[in-house]
Amino acid sequence: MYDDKTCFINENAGNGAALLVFDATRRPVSYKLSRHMTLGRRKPDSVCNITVVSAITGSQQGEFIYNDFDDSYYYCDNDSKNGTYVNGRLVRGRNHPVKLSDGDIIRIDHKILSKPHDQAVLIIFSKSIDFNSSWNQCMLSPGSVISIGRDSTNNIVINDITASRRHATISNSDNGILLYDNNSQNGTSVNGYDINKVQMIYDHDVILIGRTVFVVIGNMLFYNDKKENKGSLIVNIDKKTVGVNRKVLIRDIRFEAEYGDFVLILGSSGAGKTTLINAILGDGKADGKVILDGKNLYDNFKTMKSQLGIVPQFLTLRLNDTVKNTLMDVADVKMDKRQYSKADKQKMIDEILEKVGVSGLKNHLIRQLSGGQKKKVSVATQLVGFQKVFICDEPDSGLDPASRIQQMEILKEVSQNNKIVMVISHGPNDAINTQTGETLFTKVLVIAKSSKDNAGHLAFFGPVNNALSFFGVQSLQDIVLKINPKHEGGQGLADLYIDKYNSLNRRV
Amino acid sequence: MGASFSTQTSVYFKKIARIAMREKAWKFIVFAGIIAFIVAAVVGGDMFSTYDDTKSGFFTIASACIWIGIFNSIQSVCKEHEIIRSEYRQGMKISSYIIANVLWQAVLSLIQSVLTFVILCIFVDFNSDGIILSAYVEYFTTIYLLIFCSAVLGLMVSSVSGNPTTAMTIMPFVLILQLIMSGVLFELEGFAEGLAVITFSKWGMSAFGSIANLNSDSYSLAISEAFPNVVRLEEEECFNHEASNLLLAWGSCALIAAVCVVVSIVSIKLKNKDS
Repeated sequence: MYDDKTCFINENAGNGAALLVFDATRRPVSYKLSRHMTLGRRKPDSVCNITVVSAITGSQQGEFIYNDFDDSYYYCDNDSKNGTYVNGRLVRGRNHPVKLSDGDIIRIDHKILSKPHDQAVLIIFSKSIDFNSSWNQCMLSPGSVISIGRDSTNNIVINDITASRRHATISNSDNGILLYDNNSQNGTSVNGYDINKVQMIYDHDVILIGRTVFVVIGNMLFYNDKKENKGSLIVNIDKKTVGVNRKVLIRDIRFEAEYGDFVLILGSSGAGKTTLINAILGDGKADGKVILDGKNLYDNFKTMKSQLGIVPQFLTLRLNDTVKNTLMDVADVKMDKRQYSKADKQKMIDEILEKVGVSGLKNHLIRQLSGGQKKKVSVATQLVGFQKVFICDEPDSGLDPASRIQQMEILKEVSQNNKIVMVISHGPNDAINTQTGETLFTKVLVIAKSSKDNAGHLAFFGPVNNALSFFGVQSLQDIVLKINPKHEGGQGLADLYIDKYNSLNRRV
Repeated sequence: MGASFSTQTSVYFKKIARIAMREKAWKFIVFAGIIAFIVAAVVGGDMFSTYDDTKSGFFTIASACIWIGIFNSIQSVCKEHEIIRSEYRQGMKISSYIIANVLWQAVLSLIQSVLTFVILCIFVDFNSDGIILSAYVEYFTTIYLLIFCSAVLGLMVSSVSGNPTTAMTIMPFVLILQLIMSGVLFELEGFAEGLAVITFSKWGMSAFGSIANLNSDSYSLAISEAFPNVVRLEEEECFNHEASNLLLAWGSCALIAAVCVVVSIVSIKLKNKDS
């Protein structure tokens, strides 16, 4: 049998995860999460780590528990009287831990969430809110109209390029509080859903504009300094079927990748790697959710599509155009000129050219550049705008070993610019740092075809070292041999590893 | 939300023009001038002398215009399919991209038309009564429409083709079809007559013929020089010196070009439907 002990201890456990808590005092309080923290009503003899002023909260309402295996936090309700709402869904009982993702909203409240109890508690779980950031507040007095955006003429100015010049407006009229999105570039979301031009706002709603979080508490609007750019992609796919017989291609694929991750997707042929990619890109939607920075891609596909990119296998540059013009045209196409001035775009381009190391070549024609420089410009074009996730289907196929390494180094460079890059590769051992010899990937996702339902299942997702330990192999390439069927030269252990991963993943 | 249709069209038009200049687009203009010179030198002396020579002259001019137009654009889109796929994924509107290409072809065709017409005027006396406007304006408009609409046809072939080799393979067939369907080389009947309706050569000949009033008795048949009593038995209705004829010819060219634009956009969208 397999060995499932102790290889998943992460010394940086929960690094950066925090809670923002509003209780009956209606003041924001931040808590940095440690591996295990308890939540309960504030009283003199309370033993909880997080205490709230709230008559409807139990003395030991729930717990936040870090799980080493999947590097995630879970919330467990301690059989509380009123239960706890996580993203609007009631959870109650220790046997139903809920995996938490960036931006999740936890509420202790009564049933009608649009009319919160005066003792209600709102908690925002986040890995991206700066723990030490200050919180500002603004009164939403009757008749007031508050404009929000980058432009200095707004009532609330957000110094953040992802926000538009005049992004949104909040008005408190006789009909209630209304939030208007002013045709912003990146949209406005309320409780994780993009709004369509205008939406009614209720007490305890959480609004995201650019990277700034706004929380409505009564007639007060609380907002933080901008979030760190540390979002995540959460894939939660129940199944993806095809054809009239609804043949299941992939099932139960659940993982969370964070900004900066360079994820290798491994799997035997026909296991569903491309199906997974298409599901993430929204091209072949699956049953389930794909959540990027707290927003559901499938529900907000029109506005979020541009945040997902496919890194082309080949150079897609016009050789007789200059580097500067190439990037400026990309910016002009991607960014609405009503929201971003030429100066905004130029600033962004200059920063990107500096990052990828070709700032001295901006007036050169593409055809005058070396192969490596062209690839860097190609990467720069991908970085212009607001794409957050890049997916590459065998970017190294058909390339010689030296070019394969170079291609992977460039993709790594993209991920290091606070993006998520996911790559299907049949030659992962080539993706190494030429100086240290270490793999370039930060995480590995393995899909294996189960013999039980003939569908692709997740056999592993996590850091590279954990993957090698999990499969008991020396190199990434060997993982595929473990899960490949025997008739394809593998060891046929797909079912074993799927079960092993599921059993470890269920343990909290 | 990316840039609007008009902004993207403007971005791509400037990009196409900028790159065309770097890729020596003036070659297309020089090339059009050389073609016009050869055509004018060959047909110029005999134009407007007899019915046959005039008709042959117009056929040669129309064919040259179609050739110039298709050659302008036949490789413009097919060589960029990979780039289009990548940029579409990044937010490019395919309609903006195609319209920008059409606008660039409109500019290039205009320059070529002016040059072609000026060279033709050196060798051919176009001075006659126009139908709606002066004959000069009408001849020039016809030449411009033929070059521009053919360029749009070339754009469509380029959009449908997967690569430049395929496009260059298709091009001769398109040209031959245009030449045959003009109705000058062969008499068209039945299916061929119907098919001719979608060719620029037929409508170009119709426009030229009606401006020149080819049905007029002032054009004798070449054979009449030997046999003075021989007369034309049947007039071609499309050559009637009438505004309806001219406008129908011009309108048909524009309509076919519009269909080509739509087909171009749809074909590229279909190619990228999974992107």
